[in-house]
Parts: sequence; structure tokens; C-alpha cells
Amino acid sequence: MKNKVFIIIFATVLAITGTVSLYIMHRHTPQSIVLVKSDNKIIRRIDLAAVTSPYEFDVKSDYGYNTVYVSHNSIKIIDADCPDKICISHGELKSNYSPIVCLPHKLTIIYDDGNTDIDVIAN
Amino acid sequence: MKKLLLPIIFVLFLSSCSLPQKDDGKVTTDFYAMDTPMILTAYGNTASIAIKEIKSEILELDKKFNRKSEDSELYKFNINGRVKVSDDLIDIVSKSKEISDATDGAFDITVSSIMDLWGFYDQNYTVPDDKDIQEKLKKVGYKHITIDGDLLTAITMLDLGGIAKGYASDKAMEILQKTGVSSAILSLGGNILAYGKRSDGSNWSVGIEDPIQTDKVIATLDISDKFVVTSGTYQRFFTENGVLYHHIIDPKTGYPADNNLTSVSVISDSGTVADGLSTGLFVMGLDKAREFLKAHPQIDAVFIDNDNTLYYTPSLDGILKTDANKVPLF
Amino acid sequence: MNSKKLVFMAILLSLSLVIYIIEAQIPPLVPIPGFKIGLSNSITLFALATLKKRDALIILVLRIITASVFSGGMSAFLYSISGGMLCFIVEALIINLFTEKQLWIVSIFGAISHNIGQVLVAVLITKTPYIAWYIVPLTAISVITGLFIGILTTMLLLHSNGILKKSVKDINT
Repeated sequence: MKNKVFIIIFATVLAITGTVSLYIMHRHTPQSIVLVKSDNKIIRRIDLAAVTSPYEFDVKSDYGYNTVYVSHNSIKIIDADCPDKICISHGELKSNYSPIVCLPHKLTIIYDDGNTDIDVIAN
Repeated sequence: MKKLLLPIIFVLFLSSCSLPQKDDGKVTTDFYAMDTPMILTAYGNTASIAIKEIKSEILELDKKFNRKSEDSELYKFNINGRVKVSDDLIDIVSKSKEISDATDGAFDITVSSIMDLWGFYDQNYTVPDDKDIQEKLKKVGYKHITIDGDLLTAITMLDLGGIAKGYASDKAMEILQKTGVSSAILSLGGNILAYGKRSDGSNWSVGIEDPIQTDKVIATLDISDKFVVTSGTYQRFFTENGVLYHHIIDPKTGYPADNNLTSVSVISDSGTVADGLSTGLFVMGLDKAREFLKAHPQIDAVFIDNDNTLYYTPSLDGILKTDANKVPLF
Repeated sequence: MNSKKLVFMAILLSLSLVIYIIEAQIPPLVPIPGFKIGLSNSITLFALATLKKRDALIILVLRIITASVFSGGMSAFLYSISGGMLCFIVEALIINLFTEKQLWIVSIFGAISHNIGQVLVAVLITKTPYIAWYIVPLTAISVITGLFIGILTTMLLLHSNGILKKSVKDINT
């Protein structure tokens, strides 16, 4: 009896979370402004729409490095010295439902949601 | 069994709930005007009306003040040198003259003929002959502009590029007040108006671009109801024979202002003043600017030099946040 | 603490450590931050089923500490300990409600809470609330990995029953 109940419960949980995750992981809602945060601080704010020729830069921290590759309307991590390299296999940033994260290096890349510390840049 | 229900519900809840969606009546638009991108964001019931009105006001001013466009009022004036013009043009020119007076000519809307020599007009950059510069310098000077009612006279052409965005942001502020918008953050090509406060009641945070790594922010300003304008060498420059020539020309010498500064940000209650002074204080250099700011305590400024050291007016204590080296101006 | 028990716990600790290190060498099956198959959790579950809860906890904490010394450092330790502790608390609370053939249920709950704990710490550490979205796919995967680990532990228990039952009795008295 107990077994049956739990099989149903877990099957439901699996069905719901599975469907929802397929949906959110494949959501592609590109925005223009991305924030690169390392160790809790915004270190770069990039307007992807304004990038004409691709470039890359390293984010170095006490924990290690990540090489970020930026091109027109696209950003991804192409190299890192973290153990699992999940940030690299993540591929390019698609939406804030699946931010690029390198947990060991405390690095995240997200679209600017207007909710961050900096509202606007004077230039 | 019952004991288990709670954790199951908890897990289901955690996994299926969504992050709170913001619905605070945010309206955003971006478009291109005055040779630069404009990004307008306002909050509240009247936000969309205000944004619409601000956009058409900016486009309207752009039509009048753009000296590159043959249809513009300024273009016609520059050909004739003596024309009856609109209130807006009289207003912006007389405000420019006031700023020129206050900065002892460090800011000057008649410097455009020299800007053109350097190629900053059409991106055809070149280092001009000193002879040509001296020749053009004779006609440069805000004192050669006279205003008589709606009759504007000058012996040289005018360029409002260094003040039009600031002027437009003042007009935008008037529209925000008139339409009753509670908060807004406007970027008119990098000229910032931080109006009201964020929806959570905190001050807006305005970033100052790092002059060396321009996709980074070197400092932030926590402000409300203020205009912020930055002038920096990194915005427009060219190099020839290893020498860097930037677009902030000293109206007295005809050459790019050479004083170890890379960026000047001005924080003021007036967009026009902030825009004019960001150039004016840059040309004056740190020492003269210090005296100016002592005499004008209602204006704040942040200077960045070649070493990325920040010099700031002391009243910005607690407002200016940076990891870089910072030194109070006085 | 008698020496039999000490040896038994030491064996479990080194087993879980070896399993942990081996798992760390396997490239992640799904590229989701915080995801782990959690093979070493089978030892925690095994310890919970055979030893006192306090002793199982000691093995777990020692495993996390030693593992972070071998690989990872401070931030890895924080993720591990938060996930590991939440997982342990949940498993310890409910394990007595189930038989050893029902360990898969305990294990799924443990796996889900492990990932929730880890993601929540990641949100706190990086101050990026969007990371919490990863709880959704991680929960889906946890059901599968938890099931797998649970069955593995049950098999482990049943196969070692003859050898263990006798000595475990000694250990826990």
C-alpha cells in the first residue's frame, strides 16, 4: 500500500518538475544587457546588442578563472579551471531561468533584470 | 502517512512556485536621437503618457538643434549668422552663455569649427595644421554671440552637441512633473536623469563608466532627483603617430584639453548645467575646477585621472561608492 | 566506543570517501549546477539503517570535511555541508517509518532535499535568486537518482545481511 502511494507521488513530482524544467530550460528570452557577477559583485555589464566583433576575457578570482566569450547577442563560458566544467557545457545564456553558474568560482552570468544594484550608467 | 504529507507539499510548493513577477507599471522605450541611443524608463499609471511625450519632445528638440540636418533651425542659423529663432533655441543658447561665463570660457558652443578641423564632425580624424587652428581660434568665443529678443547673432557657427541632451533632460523632467510620474530613470545618450526613487523606496544607483575598461563600472552614485552627466576622453578619440587626441577641445588653445583627466561626472539639479559643466570642468582641469566647485556648493562632481584615481566633492561622501582609489577634492 | 564499531565506521567513512572521489571524476551527466548523482549518499543511508543516527552523522560530516580537503576548498565545503545536512536531517527523520526494502522512498526525499539545500546556499552565496530555478530540474533528476541510490542501498543491506546482522548487533550495544 505504502509503496503504491509513493510511486504515485513521485511519478507525479517527476512528471510536473520534468515538464516544467523542459519548458524553462528551453526558454529563450534574449535580452541585450548581461551582468557578469563574480564573488557577489557585478564586475561587468555588457550590452550584447552593441557587440560587433567577438572578444573574450578572463574572470579571475581567488578560486580560479573562467574565460568568457562575447559575441553579438551571445555570451558563454569557453574555458575554466573548475573541476566539473558545468559552466562550459551550459552553453550560451538563454534566459534567467537558466543562468550561467560556476558554483566553485562563485561566478554567475545573468540578463540584467533592472533589479540589480546599478540602474543606469552615465557615459 | 500524515507525517509525510507536509514534506511532500513543501517539495511540490518549492519546485512549482514561480519567482514573484514584478508588476509596478514599468514602461520602457528606446530609440535613436541626437546621434545617440536614448533609453527612457518610467513607473506608475501615467508612465506611458509621460514616456510618449518625452520622446516626441526629444525628437522635436533634435530637429531644431541638429546642425547636421539641413531642415534644422540651427543649420539655417549657421548659414546666415543672424536669424529670428524659436524660444527653445534662444533659451538653450542663453543658458550656454551663462555656463561659459561661469567657467571663464572653458565651455563654449562656438568651438565647433575647431572640432571640425580635427575631424570630430565626420569621423575623418586628422591632426590639423597649427596655422589653421590659430586662424579658426580668432572667431571662437561665446562673447561673439548676441541675443536680442528672438534675434540671434553670431560670427561663427554654433554646435549644441555638448548641451542639447542636458537641455532635453530638463524638458523631460518638466514633463515627468507635469504628468505626475512617481519615478523614472532616463538615459539620453548617457546623460542621466534619476527621477524619484526606486519602487522599493531606495535611491537610484547610477554607475560611472571605467575610462580604461569601458564595459566596466568604476563607481556608483546613490541619488534621487538628480542629473548626472559624464564627459570622458574615451568617448571619442583617435590616435596618430602614437599620440591620443580626444574630443574635449580647450576653446582657448584649440587642442584637446591635456590635464591627466580621463573623465568628469557632474551631479546637479539641472541637466543643462550638468551637461555644460561636464565639459567645462574637464577643460578647466582639477585645480581650477576645485575653486569653481568651492564657489558653487550646489554642484557635485567626480574626476577620474590617468591612474583611475577618483577626486570627488566632499558632499558626495556616502553617496559615491567605489573600490578604486578616492580622494576628496577639498 | 568499542574497537569493532570504530573499525566499522572507519570502513564506511573510507568507502564513502572513495565513492565520492570516484564520482567527482565522472563528468556530470546533466550540465546543471549543483547536480550530483550522490553515490556516496548510499553509505549515509546504509549507516542510518545499521548504526545509530549520531554515528551516521559523524561519518557524513567527516566525509564532507575530508572530501573538501581533497577537492574543492571552502566554497565546495559550504555547498556540500548544506546539501548533506538537509539530506541527512530529512532521511534521519523519516527512515524509521520505512522498511529496508522501502529505502528508495527515503533516498528520493534525501536526494531532493540535498539539492534544495545546495541550491539555496548557492543563491545566498552568489546573491543570484534566479539560480533557484534550478531546483525544478534538480528535483526531477533527484527522483531518478534517489530511486537508484535507494535500491542500491537496499541491495547492499540485503546482500550483507548475514555478515552484518551479527556484528552490527555487537557494535550498537
